[in-house]
Amino acid sequence: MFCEKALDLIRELQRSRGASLPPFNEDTLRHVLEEMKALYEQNQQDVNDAVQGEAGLFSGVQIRHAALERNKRCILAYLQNRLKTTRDMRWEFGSVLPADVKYNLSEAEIQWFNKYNKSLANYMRSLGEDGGLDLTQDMKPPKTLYIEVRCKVDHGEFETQEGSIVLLKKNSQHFLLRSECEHLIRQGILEHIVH
Amino acid sequence: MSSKQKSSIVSAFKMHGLTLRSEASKYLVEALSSISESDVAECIDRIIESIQKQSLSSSMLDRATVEQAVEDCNQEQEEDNDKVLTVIDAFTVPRYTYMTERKKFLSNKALGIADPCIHGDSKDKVDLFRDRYTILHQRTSRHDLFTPTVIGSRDTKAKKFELKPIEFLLGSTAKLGDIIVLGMLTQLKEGKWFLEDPTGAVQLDLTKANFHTGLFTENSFVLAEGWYEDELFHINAFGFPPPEPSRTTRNFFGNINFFGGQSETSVKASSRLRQIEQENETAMFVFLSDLWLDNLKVFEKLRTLFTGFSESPPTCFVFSGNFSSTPYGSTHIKEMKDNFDTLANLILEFPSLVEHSKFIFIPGPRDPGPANILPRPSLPEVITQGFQEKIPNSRFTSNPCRIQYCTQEIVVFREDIVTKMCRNCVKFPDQGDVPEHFAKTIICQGHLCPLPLHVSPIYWAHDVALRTYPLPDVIVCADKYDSFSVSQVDCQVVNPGSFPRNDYSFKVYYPANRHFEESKISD
Repeated sequence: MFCEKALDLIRELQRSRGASLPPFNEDTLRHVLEEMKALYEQNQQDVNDAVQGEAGLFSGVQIRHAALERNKRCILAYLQNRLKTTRDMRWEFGSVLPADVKYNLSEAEIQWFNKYNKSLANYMRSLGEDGGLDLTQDMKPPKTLYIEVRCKVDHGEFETQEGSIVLLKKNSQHFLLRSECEHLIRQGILEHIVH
Repeated sequence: MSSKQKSSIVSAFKMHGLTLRSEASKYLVEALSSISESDVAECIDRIIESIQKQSLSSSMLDRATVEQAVEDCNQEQEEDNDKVLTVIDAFTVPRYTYMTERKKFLSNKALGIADPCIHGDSKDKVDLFRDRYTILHQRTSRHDLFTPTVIGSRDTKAKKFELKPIEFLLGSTAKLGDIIVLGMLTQLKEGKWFLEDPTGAVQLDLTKANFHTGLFTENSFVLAEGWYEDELFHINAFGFPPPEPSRTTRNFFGNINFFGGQSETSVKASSRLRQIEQENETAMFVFLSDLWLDNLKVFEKLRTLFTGFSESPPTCFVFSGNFSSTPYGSTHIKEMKDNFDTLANLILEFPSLVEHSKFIFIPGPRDPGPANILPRPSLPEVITQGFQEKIPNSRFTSNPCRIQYCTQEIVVFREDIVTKMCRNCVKFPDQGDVPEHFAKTIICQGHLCPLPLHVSPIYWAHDVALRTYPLPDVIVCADKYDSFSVSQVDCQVVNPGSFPRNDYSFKVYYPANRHFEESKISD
């Protein structure tokens, strides 16, 4: 049946919803494109024949055209959805993607991610007066300026904005400015202690 | 001042989602202190850009990463010129592993695979064949013949095949007709041929086998077509896995630089280099094999050669060994050293060559060095030092070696491989030229030396250096066999022939129009 492969792509998206990004399914994508090429060529030929006066070809052309359109929509939906997930990851993981996520992206997606990253950085720098405003901070409204955190891994020295150096050793606890250690919490290096 | 600068640096990095470790930020403040305040912002931008080009594993930047980035920024202008001609040693080629589940090549560094060592362990030996197989398998299964028919296409009658693993044969009890298997030819028991792939091995019956073009050697990978019954695979026909032009490979895997060199991405994508290549119509490469420096006649001919070229110096002379006609004896090394000195003096007589041409030397199988195992390192420094002092624009490199000129990739390999392969054929071809068969073999196998390890030993962990996937533009197989030049799937396989043995013949390559010219210095 036409468009079956394209539907596979969409099913794959649906299955992986909520989980991490699945590998870029280049094989199926290429297969769909091949199918579209074949459909297009046949349509072209049938239309040419119809123009020459052959009757009874139009319904076939119609079906193929609908299949073409559907294939196109499915592919675009697949790509668009992946981009959205990639974009969300910028806000979740920061500008450096974890290796296992990165391997699942296609070359073009990585390029897109880098460009998005750059645009976002430029935008954030243009905000405010002094060096910009980090929008990725305080994704939830903060309750206090300082928070208590516990180190989960040996991370080494960490320099705060005031210039003092804190040694982040495993299982040590610190009282740090929330804005500074938030990205470390998100990366799983620190853990917020809630009493 | 410094604290203000520091905070501006840190915040700029933070906006890009990057954090500096304290030693890294200290280093940056130092490095940027000499730059006037108005330029600082621009410099930071450039540094961030070059950091993002490196493959980072975490958003915390340490000092080494930042140092590397600053260095890259400083070198950017100089590096551009370097890239026109690069010689890549066999031991420094980039290493990639094909991940079957992701259908991607990933660099070994990113996968955390340790650097290779000369004398590898058993795993390296297994990987040698396994990697060759996975590369060929992914290439074959992508080929038109093996991809499933597209729904809706008109010519559904076009014949399509399905690749089966050997497991599939072993697991069936009934007779299986008309199947195709990709596997390696081996002799697991003496005198009996087997086909092997990662899932198992099956014995072959070759009595009715037809051989397509190519030299089918032991340990080469073949597509075997036939029928299976009673644990015996009856072969109807043998063929090589279909070759793939490098253009197609790059379509699938993007701009990964498989070839080597400084450039991060493949040089094929660089329009600047392409332009240089097209404009520089006089660029020439001279390939010459078996340069017997102890032979007076050879020197005489070399003088003629240099005189001829001194008017229009070629880009590069590629001389391959053996550098002596009598490669033995206790005075061998001393003699070679003296001979290279004489050669240096001869070249010095032609100042235009010294200035404009590069001299590349590739050792032959009987030159001094370690045992005859491929890849072979360059000639020892004790021989070459004197020469290199006199002719600084020279490079002694390994065998095989890779040369990148603008957007073209050239592989040079010095080994008497043609006769070796003919001798180790399962069945010597009845018809056709040997060069045609040979070229087809190395192109389809994606390997310079598809021979069993006991015939032509290879350092297991360094097998990558001998692979030719994606296909380079030119493969120069310097062999003592008569000179030939064959072109298949956008790849030219050329043998310049032995210089002293073939009436002083050599090959000249013009990269601008990708043309080889056979030359000879007659008496």
